[in-house]
Amino acid sequence: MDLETFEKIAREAEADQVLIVVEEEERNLTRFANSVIHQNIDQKDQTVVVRAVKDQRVAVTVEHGVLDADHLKAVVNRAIGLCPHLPQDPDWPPAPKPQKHPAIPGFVEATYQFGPIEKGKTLEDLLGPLKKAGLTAAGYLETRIHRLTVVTKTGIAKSFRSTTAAYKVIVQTPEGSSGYQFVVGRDISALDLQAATDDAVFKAETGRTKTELPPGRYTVILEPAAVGHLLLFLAFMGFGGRSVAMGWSFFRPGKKILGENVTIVDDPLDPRNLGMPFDYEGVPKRRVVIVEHGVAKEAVYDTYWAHKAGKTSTGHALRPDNTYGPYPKNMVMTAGDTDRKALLEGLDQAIWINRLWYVNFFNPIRTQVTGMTRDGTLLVRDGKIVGGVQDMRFLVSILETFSSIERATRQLFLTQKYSAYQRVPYLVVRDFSFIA
Amino acid sequence: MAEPLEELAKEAIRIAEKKGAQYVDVRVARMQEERIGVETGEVRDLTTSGSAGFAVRVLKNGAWGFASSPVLTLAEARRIAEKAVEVAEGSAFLQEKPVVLDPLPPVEAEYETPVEKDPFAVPLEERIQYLLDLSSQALAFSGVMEFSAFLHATQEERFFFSNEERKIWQRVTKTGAGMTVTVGEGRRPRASRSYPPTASGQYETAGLELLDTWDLPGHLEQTVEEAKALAGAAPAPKGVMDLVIDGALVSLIIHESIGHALEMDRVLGAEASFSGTSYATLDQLNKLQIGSPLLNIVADGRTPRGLATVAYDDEGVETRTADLIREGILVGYLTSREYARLLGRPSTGSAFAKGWLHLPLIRITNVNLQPQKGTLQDLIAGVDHGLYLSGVKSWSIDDRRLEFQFAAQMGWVIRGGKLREVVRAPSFVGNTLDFWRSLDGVAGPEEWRIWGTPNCGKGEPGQTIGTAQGAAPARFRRVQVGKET
Repeated sequence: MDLETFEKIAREAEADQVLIVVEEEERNLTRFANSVIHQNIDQKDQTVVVRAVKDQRVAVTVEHGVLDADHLKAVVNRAIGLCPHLPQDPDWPPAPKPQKHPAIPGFVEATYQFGPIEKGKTLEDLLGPLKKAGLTAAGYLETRIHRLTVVTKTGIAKSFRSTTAAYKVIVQTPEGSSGYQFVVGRDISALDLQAATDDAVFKAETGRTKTELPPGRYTVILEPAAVGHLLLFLAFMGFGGRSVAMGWSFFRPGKKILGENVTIVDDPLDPRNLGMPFDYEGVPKRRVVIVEHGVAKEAVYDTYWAHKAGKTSTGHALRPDNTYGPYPKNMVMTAGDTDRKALLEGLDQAIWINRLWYVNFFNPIRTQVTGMTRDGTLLVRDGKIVGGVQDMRFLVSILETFSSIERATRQLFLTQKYSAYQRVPYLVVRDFSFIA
Repeated sequence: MAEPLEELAKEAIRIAEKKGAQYVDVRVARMQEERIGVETGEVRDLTTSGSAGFAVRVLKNGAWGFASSPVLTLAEARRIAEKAVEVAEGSAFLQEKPVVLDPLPPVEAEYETPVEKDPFAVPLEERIQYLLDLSSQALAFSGVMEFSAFLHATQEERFFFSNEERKIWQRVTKTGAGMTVTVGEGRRPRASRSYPPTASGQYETAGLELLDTWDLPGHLEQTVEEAKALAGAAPAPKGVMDLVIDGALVSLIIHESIGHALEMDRVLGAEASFSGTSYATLDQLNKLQIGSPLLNIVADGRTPRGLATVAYDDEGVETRTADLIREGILVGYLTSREYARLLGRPSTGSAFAKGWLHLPLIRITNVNLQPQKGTLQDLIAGVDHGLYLSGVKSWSIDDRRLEFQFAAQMGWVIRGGKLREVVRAPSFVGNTLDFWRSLDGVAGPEEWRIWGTPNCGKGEPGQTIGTAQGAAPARFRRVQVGKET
């Protein structure tokens, strides 16, 4: 269906507001374990989400595989038909009007063309040599093509097509040590898959001999994957307009919440952050300074929570069937100016944390989370990585962690957790608490 | 235009075979879903969903291929069948040994979840009003500042066809419900308590009769009282002590430390990049003492009202019961056809996919701790110094399923075999084997429930599906409570 058909259906719908979101996705993911391709998929999906508002009553319908105008009309009418069952929401705002959004690149032909045969060949080249070295690998090589279309009764009609390529690799030794690395971008040909594999090999090899350390507080080096994971949880707990309005958040504009060296922005418009130019309401995304030099500045908003707070949307609406509220999906964190090569200089003893696992809230009010280290926890002595450390359970406050940053690299690295991206540095953090 | 499903499946099988596939199965699924949520007296969520599509899975020269699409036409069936074979050709790179399946005989079967009250047949107004009435009653209690409750129902028709002449139709109905009370002062929340005391309500393969069983209005007053008791409670004590744990939390501990650990694909490294591996390695089969002799765990794909209960899994294998742990010893794994063959046993019928879009993986089905005898009170009476823990608050476990931390919604101090004061935020850390070996009491069948977990994640791309764990209250000796530096 073309945009005009969507627009016509939205325009003619018998409701005060209609928002139609169409997500189309083709995903080709080749998964390997024990250096063998064991799961390999090609998925095509189309999801239509309709939000209808009538007389300040709001309902949502979701349908997979709606492909013609009659089906779409039926889904729209189903949403409208639900509205009378709902109580009025006097705070429901007027629908956003069409606004121009900035152009950002998203689609790369090389990624689009990279099929299962190319993936098999590429993995054979990357992983074949590991077998000879007595190592095995698990992970995946993935390409995705995604198109987001947003149409409203007020005349918004936008579409954005993008590609994503990702490579995740965990290299394992017979002794049970392992090393992890992950790279992601729009262009498969721009990803350095060999460097990622080599890094995972280095960590796995280095961790063959493991030291067991007692629980306690240690200086740690957090790799970008670990930093991104913690940042994701911090944002869940406090960077969205809903959690601020509901009083659940630690976030109060003007209040110092993190170390002075920490600045966090959500910057979907920087192509390095793999963002979209508009959100799921069709509102242009904008760069939001969330924390500046440790001070809370601005949360992110969708139309509803912005209206409640007397603000305007920052373009951070999630899909309408998601009840979580607005969320920053393209965060960038800066916290220092150390060169990557100088990160370990002067550290007598520290624990290098490659990746976190099964992080869960422990005490959200204190931003406390617990979880395990995994796939490449290493020991640093006298400024050098000297071996492995048995994985440990941590229990930390994320606000305290990000207030205890001793140094951070000026180089930033893109990482991904769920459907959000974070471009973050390596961090050296003091007093990171391990409980078991 | 949707084509008749059998014709679509046959065409996909014909094309895949023509392109060289030796094994082909086609799954077609149609699903409807409805979610109603109220927050503090208002409907905050009313979402209906529908989904339809199909998937083709092939084995060509011992390599797997899979493709799926929402377009239910013959032309798309041909395209997806060709794509699945192309994917299998991609899988042939790095292949060491071909995947082999033991053949299954032809079958033609139907199954439908027994449902007393079809949730989609009850008028929407009635279901909304149920939640709004519940909300009004909750907010009438002094001190209640927030109240949320939900009703969630799905109904899925699953068709399975394979070139082994297996043709299976199933209709699976699932219903979930739950509520959470938050008490506080002004805008400041002080404590929350859920009923049923899980992280996400209670889910079963059932209709709205679930509401009669669990009787949310009848448990409202107690839930409010417990939330109030928590608001004024002191922090839980720390140290090594005996624990009596309610069935809801025992269920989650089984899920995390036993259910996942005994998925045979992860035992053999297939999930090393995401969900992790397992302590229960193959060389430990029939040897490893996972728990005390009171620990008997059975996988049962047919437990009445279990959230994973169906007649056939997504490989078209009939579900059944299988011992996983007998008197504390590891004796079996959850398997699919591919992995069961490596054990020389029939599949446990444990391969499931999230809808038509995804590939079937070995999943926890209904994994049940067998009840023993006695009551919760009997278990408490056997503790001189310890805690009774109730409800699920937080959980985390390492990638080998050995080192865990769980937090309960609330606790009661036990002194001299009796429940004493309420304590808040009780949590405990431990090692799976030490923990289950310290099991010295499981309550009897009267207190045994099949607890549904609606949001179990596994695989890349991630698939969230429903599992269940049967559990009764249980007692554990000398557990580390509340460790923090």
